[in-house]
Amino acid sequence: MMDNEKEVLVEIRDLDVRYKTRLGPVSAVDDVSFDIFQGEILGLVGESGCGKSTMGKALMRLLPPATDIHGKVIFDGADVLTFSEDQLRDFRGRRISMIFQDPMTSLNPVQRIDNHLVETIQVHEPDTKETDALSRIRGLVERLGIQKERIEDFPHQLSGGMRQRVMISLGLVLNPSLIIADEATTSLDVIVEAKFLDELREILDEFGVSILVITHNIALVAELADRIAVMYAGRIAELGSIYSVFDNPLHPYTKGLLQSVPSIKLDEREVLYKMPGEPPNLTHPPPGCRFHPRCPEVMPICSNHTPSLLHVTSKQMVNCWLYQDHPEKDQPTIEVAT
Amino acid sequence: MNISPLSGICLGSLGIALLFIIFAFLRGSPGLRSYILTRVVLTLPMVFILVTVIFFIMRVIPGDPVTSQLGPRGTEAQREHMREQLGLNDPIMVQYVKYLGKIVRLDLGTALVLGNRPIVDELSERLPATIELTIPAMVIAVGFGVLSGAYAAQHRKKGVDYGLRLFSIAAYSIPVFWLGLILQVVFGIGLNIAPIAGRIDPVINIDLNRMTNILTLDALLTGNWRALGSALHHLFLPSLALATVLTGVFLRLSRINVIESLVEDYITAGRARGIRERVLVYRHALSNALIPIVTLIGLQFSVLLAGAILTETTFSWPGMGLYLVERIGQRDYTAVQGVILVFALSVAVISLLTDIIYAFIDPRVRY
Repeated sequence: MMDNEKEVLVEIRDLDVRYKTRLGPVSAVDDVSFDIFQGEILGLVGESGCGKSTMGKALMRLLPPATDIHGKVIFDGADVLTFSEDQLRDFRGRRISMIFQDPMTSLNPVQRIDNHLVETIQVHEPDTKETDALSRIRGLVERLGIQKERIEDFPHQLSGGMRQRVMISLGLVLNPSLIIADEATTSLDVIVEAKFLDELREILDEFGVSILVITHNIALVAELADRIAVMYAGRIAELGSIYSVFDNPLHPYTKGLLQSVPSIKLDEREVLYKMPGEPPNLTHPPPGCRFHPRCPEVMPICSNHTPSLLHVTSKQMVNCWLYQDHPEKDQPTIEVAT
Repeated sequence: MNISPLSGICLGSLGIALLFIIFAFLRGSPGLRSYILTRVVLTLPMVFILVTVIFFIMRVIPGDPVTSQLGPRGTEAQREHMREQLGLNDPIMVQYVKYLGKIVRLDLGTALVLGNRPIVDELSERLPATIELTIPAMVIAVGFGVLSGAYAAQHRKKGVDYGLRLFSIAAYSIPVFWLGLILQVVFGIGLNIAPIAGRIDPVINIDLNRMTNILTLDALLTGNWRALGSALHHLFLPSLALATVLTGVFLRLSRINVIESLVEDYITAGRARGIRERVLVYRHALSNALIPIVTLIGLQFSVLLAGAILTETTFSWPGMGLYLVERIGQRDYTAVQGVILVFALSVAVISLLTDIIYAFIDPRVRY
């Protein structure tokens, strides 16, 4: 429904990312396909090491050169993964920009704030004079609540919240279509974080930009996003609108994840759900569904065949055999103890 | 004490450094001011200790200027006369106090050998030669070392990186006098393309109007292009030898610091904004990597002076180093003390300068 109304901005198809390490290849993202729509906020959640940051970096081709990337990332009809260096440079910052995890280290310590912004403009528009660039950033910077006399400061002279605003202004300065916010609020305290979220939402409305919010904080996604994608061990477990996923989680992993969020209303007698087991080692991921060793509803087929991310309702997709048919599904190959 | 024009100009370079320190003192923050003040005040005991140590060491080592001048055949009367003349008959503590008194009055005394000229006059001929040798060597070493270090960092783990690292280890471990000899054999004798000794062709030297005694500068100021060519030609091998041994350490430090900077978040963030890789390496990463490099320039300055002594000896370059070696041999106490004093002061001034520059290139540094 909602999915059909909006125009697709980025199409990610069969994305595979493999890091080469001394212990062998690590399959950080495995066969992931989804769309990002124009003007939406998509929240990508998952535990540490589930591949969510890798996914964000893969969209901008920011991964180390030795990394194997396969699949397609279609943006404006062109596949980002086939771009040349020159095309990439033009694409980065102008079409997609990124707000990084740590505003403390994401600004060059010996470069003034205004210089960061002017440089970003001049990289993409070499003919723009410095004075023109400066007058262009003035409005944006004020809109983001940075006093104009502060933009001549060095990064270390600004507070964390202020630096994060600078990072947003750097992300917005060229009017990109998509902003990837990779754990952008993790290093901020809760009050600054709440302010930052409000700002992010306002920006979305004003600039009509799509945002991919990458975080491990499921509450933040609930607060902010239109849709949520839950990642587990390099695959998307469940994807759907915020309301449908939170009201009716389908994938056993999503269920567990939502149950393990502490609630202020939690009864003293109720024990917080603790998911059994640990996330798998991605050098040797489990066969079949990667969640099956921890899954409370595991079936024989789960360890033999990999499910796909399929629509269950128009607003919700899930990657689980519970909701999919397979010839082997109903013929148990192993005696399951009840 | 009358100051010859030569020594005046020579002191000029020290003056420029002092002007910079005064500028930093006036412009800088109160913290920087008290820092400069502390450093300047601390320089005094350091120089005092050094001068004292040299004074006594020179008198403890066997031999004396009288023997070195008169030789073994000098009669006792001659020796006695000369000792009296040079003030060597005074008790050593009296000599020491007299010497300190002169230093306070900025008088370095007169040489004990070879015509007893004022040390200031002798140094004013020698110091420019050393400046002429060491400054280009330092500029080449820092320029080439830092840039090739960044280049190696950009092409990390590729052939060129391994090549440059190998070069840096070799350059760092080769003794400068050995390298000097090899350069003389290869370029001076084998290929016969560069002179192996002296500062300038003696014939051309006749019509060079000396003002600063830095020959290239003199030639430039008077527009004497033939002299400039000859001076640069003579400068080529010694400065190359001295620069090479200094390059290695700059190359390594620059490489490792650029590599460390390149994995910082702000480089990834810059890349995500579409900034060119070249700009990221040579502007963003290198400007951050320069901070420890500037410190190293200050530290390497003493290595540079030590290298200059060997290089000057190898290439018969009439600078402070060669002068020092000659005068140690002749037990010319005052001359050796004078050279050491100048070396100590210049090391102190340079390290203070680098600390001040540090405050200007790294906005985070607060003194």
